[in-house]
Amino acid sequence: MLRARVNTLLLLSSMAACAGTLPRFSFSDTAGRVHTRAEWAGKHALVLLFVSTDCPLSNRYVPEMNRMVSAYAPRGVVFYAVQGDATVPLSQVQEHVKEFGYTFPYLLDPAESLAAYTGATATPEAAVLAPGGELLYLGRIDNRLEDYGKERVQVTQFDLRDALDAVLAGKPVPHPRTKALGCAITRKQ
Amino acid sequence: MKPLALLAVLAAMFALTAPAAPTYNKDIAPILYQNCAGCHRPGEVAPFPLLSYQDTGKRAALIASVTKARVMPPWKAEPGYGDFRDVRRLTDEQIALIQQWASSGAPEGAGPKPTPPHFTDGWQLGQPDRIVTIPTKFSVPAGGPDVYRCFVIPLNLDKDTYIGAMEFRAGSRRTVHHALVFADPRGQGRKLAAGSPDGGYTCFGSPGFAGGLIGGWAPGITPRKPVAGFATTLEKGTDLVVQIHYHPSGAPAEDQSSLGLFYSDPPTHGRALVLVATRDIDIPPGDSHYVVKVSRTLAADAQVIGITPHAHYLCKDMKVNAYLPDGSVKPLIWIKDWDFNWQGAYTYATPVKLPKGTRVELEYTYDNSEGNPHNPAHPPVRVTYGEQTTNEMGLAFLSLAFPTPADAISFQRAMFLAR
Repeated sequence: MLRARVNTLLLLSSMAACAGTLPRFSFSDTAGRVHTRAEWAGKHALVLLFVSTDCPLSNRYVPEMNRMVSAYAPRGVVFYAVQGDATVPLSQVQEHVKEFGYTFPYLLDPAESLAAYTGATATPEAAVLAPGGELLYLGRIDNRLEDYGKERVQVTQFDLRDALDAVLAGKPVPHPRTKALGCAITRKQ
Repeated sequence: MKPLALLAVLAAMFALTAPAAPTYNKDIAPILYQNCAGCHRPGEVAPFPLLSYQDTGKRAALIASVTKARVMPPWKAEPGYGDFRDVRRLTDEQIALIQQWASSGAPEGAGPKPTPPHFTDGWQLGQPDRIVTIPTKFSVPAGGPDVYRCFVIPLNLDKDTYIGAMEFRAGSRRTVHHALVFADPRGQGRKLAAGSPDGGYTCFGSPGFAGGLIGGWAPGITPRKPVAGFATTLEKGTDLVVQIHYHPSGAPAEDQSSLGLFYSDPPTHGRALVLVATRDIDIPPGDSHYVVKVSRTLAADAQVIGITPHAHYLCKDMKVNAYLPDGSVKPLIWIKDWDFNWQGAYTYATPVKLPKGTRVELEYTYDNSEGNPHNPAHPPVRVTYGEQTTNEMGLAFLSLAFPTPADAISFQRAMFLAR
């Protein structure tokens, strides 16, 4: 188990080191469909949204995530939700996806290779990748959550939207790293 | 297997030199059972259970963060300023222990698995004499701003009725954030709800009329058992108006919350409410420290059994003090970090005796700057007194007890004449 994990990390870090290529990208979603990099051939960016089933902070963002998908998917951005707690049984994840009405694929990542690759630590947290795998943005979706238990009545910074707007405009992302507050991504023991 | 063996040796060596890290089984479970599990269990309001190591170990970092920030368990009153019932506040030692546990890898520990406490499912006070619900299933949206809605519950009372206790059960436990129950003897709520398909109307702050606040619920509140001699009198024909604050969860939800009423004999003791409030609020945009002070003097001896402070989003600090005629000061409550989302009715562990002539003063501080994350306006705008989300209020209800109902009536008369 430990060795397998170390091997995965070594593999990922060597791949990340060699021109920022993604690990072999082949993940099943909750409906059993397999998603591969063929899906973002010719697209401008890839967004991974790390989420969990029972984190209220993550759940409250589902409507905003869906809004972002309808705003940016037509502009060539591919969105995936990524399971941030591999200990939750599949049936529970499926029920959650249905209840919260995700409009985009929810990937199962039992080895947590995407969290390891991007360095995401929380749910909700967003990672924006170039089609080649280069990490362009990692952090919060926006500044609604000022601190634990302290929510803005009005969001004043839209970090993920700003990052995508910059990428789509061919400009550098203004703040490529922000701190995502939320529930910790459950790392396997 | 070699690295594991090496790790085991290292761990054993470390154990000889450092004090043992706290473990879930021995140290953490008792804290969580005592302070968190009442809500963090299946079927209750919290989003996940905290009953087993499986529930808890994987959330160690989150638990450490929210307890350190004192976001959880939710309790806003500062210790030493009013001695309240049902205090849900961890000690500094407990918080430090949780930090230490999380930072040392959240170990489960050896020994037998701890047994969760026994909880009563459903109505906590037993089977109510009468159960009423809000009129229809209310649709709570998946996202967007919080919803504050008042629902009228006609009781159709054909005679005066005495309520010894009341218990609120949230229907949609994931979205109901808190509830306030008002008595409406004049049917004013019905008028405000006229024509509404769900028997409700939008209300923020007050129910839209001067109704008596007779109960409330927020996560973690233990329903009050009836106290001999005390009862709320509902006049013949009185409706209940329940204000529910919904916090959208991300998924659409339906709520039909209910209230259990427990009947009682007519009261032999008296009760009265004193409102300390000001309308003199006019906060310039950008002002991060706007102070409002107002006081009322008690026209007769009284015993304070509870206090309900209230303001809107901009308020950050609330102090209520009693200045006694002998020159001494009794702090009634201090909330250092007011949050509109966590309004509560606070009940004193033992009633606070205040003699005639005591001046009860509230001192509230508001932050209308850009730096206040609760500021609903961006950029900040001038904010004046009013009922809307964009207005501010500053008030506190004191709930008073008297030896007889006649004493309560003469107290109210004296307060009225002293105005």
